[in-house]
Amino acid sequence: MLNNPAPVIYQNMMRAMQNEQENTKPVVERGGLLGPKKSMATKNTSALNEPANRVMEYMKAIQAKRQELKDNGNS
Amino acid sequence: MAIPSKPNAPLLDGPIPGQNLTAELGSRPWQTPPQFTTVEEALDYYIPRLQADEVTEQLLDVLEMGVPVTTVANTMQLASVMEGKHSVDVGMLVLPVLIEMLMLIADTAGIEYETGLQKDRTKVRGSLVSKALNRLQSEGDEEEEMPMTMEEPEEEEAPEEMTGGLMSRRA
Repeated sequence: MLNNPAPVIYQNMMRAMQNEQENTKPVVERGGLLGPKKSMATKNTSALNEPANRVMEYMKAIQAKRQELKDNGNS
Repeated sequence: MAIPSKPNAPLLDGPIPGQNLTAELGSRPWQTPPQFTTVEEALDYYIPRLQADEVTEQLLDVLEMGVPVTTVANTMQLASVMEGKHSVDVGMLVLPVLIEMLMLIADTAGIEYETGLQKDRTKVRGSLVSKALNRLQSEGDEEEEMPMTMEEPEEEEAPEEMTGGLMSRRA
């Protein structure tokens, strides 16, 4: 019986973050008149509407802070 | 609660099955609509509490004692679900952020802590050792009880292989 779901949820979220980083492709700018504007191309509102994606963003922010702390401690 | 007269006597005045459903619906905090319905609202509730000095000190004590971060985070969200602060779904979503936050607090304080994320297979549980010892002992007892006169099965002669060559003798 699973008593504590925290490790499973955390690891799934970490895996999703890694997959997201691997799957994100750089936006190619097109110079044509009819090409989409840069702001429109990078805007991805539907992804941020998902709570899990927002949680991922919060995790990234805190992880960056932890990494910063570690780097400062090592140097 | 009545104290049983014998050590192994059953407790007869314990809660009966279904007793938990006898309270009026909506009388418990977790049966009422949750106070915080989104992840952001729940985090706005948790993070200032975690940053309070009193809570931080207690938290660091618990982590230094060797309680895993995941256990602390799960306990926190479960308690909030019981208090009717947020639903179980929001609790599950908030869990990874809580874990990260707790690790950040522990890193800032510079303490060593257990994350509870990796399974440490090098440690052998005491219960496992006692179980193995019991099994070994019971196997030893069975061997002693078994009679030592074991009859060896008679060896059967292997049938001659038929050779199928042209020059071989007929049977």
